[in-house]
Amino acid sequence: MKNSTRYTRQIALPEIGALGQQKLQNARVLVIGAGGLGCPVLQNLAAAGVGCIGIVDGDIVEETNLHRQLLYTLKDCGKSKAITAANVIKELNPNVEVKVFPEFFNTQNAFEIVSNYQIIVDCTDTISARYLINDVSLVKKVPVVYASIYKFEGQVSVFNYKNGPSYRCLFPQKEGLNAVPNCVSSGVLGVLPNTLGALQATEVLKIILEIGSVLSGKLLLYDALQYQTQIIDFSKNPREIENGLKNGFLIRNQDSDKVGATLTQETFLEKCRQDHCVVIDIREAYEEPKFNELNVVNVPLADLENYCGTLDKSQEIVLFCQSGQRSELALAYLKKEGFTKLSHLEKGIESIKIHLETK
Amino acid sequence: MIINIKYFGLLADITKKKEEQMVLDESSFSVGFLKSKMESAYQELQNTNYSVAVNQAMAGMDTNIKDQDIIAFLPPFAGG
Repeated sequence: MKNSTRYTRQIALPEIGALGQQKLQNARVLVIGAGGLGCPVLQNLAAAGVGCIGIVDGDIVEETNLHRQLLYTLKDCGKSKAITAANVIKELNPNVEVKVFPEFFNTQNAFEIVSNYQIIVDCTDTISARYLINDVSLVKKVPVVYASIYKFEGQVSVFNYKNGPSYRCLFPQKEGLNAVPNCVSSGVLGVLPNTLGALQATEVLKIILEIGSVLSGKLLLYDALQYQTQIIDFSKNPREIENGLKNGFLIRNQDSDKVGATLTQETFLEKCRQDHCVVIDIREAYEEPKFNELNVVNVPLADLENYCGTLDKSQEIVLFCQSGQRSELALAYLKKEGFTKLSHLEKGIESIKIHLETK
Repeated sequence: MIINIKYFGLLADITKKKEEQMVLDESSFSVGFLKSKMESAYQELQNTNYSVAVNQAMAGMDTNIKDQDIIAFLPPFAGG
């Protein structure tokens, strides 16, 4: 590697130089989510020579990903995103050490996964994962480089950087069952996550190289249709930091069996065939795909309170929705109501769609 | 007084506009007041989580809004 000319053009920048390249080589970055944002982040970090990159994603490549997730090709469909992405970026830059976590980031594996990294890049696609990442990062005192997209718009920021503001300072978590929008996936312009992912990678490199000013306490807004960008300032809210820390410590300290269990596809399908389980589809009646296994009842989220009033608190209940966001919320709600045997399908019925089609 | 309100993400879908100008009788009021006013005009906003920025800085519920201020209604995006 010493004699390679690979990094010549970036070492030529006085802000980087040989010392900066060494910093990149020593850096350990965890990328959570290897989808629309994750792909460009991984490509750019690997190309820049970031020494160790962790990739977390439990999803598989689907054809509908290919218009925006440029690490994957048609022949990768059906394969693990994390493993496929790792192979591609290792080929792109063999100097990079890549660690693969082919699983979804959740309360049970969070602390184990983040343990050896100095920066977390949030490339996930659910609000609950974003709060989880924030809270874990607060406890671990590592910064989060965040981006998220909606149709033609995107947001970028850096949280918990040198004791700076958190995701929760920007978006305090709303209590109650109404807080999560229906997760029928909306459309997205393919280049949009690539633009936002490149901005995220830029922030990661700036943090490692200690150059420029990092987007800490600043939310960058990007609108591709109007080509408008603007920066919104936000400051630290001690109460929100405390909420995040509290939740983070709770997750770190709890026994894994006390946490509302998240189900894999296989155990979920098994439970659907067990008579003693009540499987509740908490989606609205119009949502697709339908899933009419034996024990499934359809109780939209808003009616859950009434329905569960009729059930025994020790009844085993399995919840699912489209992508796992609403079911997670419902699970937390039922737990508070005193139900003891609860679980939910982590990534929703969407995640077993392929399974259903091939059945 | 006149204020300009910008809507982002899902909120632009709910209000069916990216921005609008509002003319109000009050000479100054709080973000909380504006929020409840907008939530009765667009009821779906009540079920949505969003933050409010005044002149490109995040504001609390009791932040004051003045004539010609630019207000942004910002929801978190989930997508990635």
